Amino acid sequence: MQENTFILELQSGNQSAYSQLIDDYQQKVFATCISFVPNKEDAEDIAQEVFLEVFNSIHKFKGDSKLSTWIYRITTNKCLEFIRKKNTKKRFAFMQSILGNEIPMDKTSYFTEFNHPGIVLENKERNETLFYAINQLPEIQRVVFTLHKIDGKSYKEISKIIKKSVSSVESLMFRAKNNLQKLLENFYKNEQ
Amino acid sequence: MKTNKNIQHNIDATFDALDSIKEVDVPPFFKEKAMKRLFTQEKEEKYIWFWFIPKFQLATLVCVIVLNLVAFTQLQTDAYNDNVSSFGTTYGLQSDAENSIFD
Repeated sequence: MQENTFILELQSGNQSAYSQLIDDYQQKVFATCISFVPNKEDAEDIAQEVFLEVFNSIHKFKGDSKLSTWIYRITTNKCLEFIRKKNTKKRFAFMQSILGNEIPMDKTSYFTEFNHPGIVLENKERNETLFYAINQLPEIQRVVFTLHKIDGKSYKEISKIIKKSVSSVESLMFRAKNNLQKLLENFYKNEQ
Repeated sequence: MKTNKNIQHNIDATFDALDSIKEVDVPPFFKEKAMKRLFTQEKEEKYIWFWFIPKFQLATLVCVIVLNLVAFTQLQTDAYNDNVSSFGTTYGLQSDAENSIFD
């Protein structure tokens, strides 16, 4: 079936079209959600919200981008929305940063309980540390790093999702890695 | 005390740990739950507003406009001020109507 015909069927509220859509995208959407929010239950809730948003907003979809890109954009926005709501200590951290104080990575201030079934036990500690560090990054760097390094999307796909050029994505990725390096350095120095 | 080399080794190992993350399968019954949410939500919305047909919408709009016009014309007249003034006089709330016992 052609994408245009499929979109028309979705816009008319055809139940079998939505069944097909969920079959095609449930795994990808869930994978992106759990990359941003490493908790199985939270990721499932967000993924459900994504399909609800697609259902409610499909009439606004103009076809400027591919359907998959539009769905991943919704997924990314839903995850960021969730993290923003849960990140209660973010404002405090911002105040600390403008006052020039070093913020040690505080695992207790993480926005969710860490429960990622895809992480093997021997690497759990290191992966948790990295996820806490990623949460300290500026939002756009966090998006690029998560989509590329955890969700495995290419720079080209990311550039379409965040509506920026591939070179901007490369530059954001470079800055994200540098910032993570500094955050981890600080963390391992304080750990001893 | 940890040397800088050890710290860098830990950082590299942390970055490498990302590659070990396995893909997580979508939870069971995800599709069923999503389909139920999509289509019961639509029915509920339709059910809540089914009675509010365009005729009622127009009638509601006309009522609101008429009520506003009536209220506006009532406020334009002096009757309101007169009523407030007589109420104040009756219950001794107006300052000019009061006499101090020290005068």
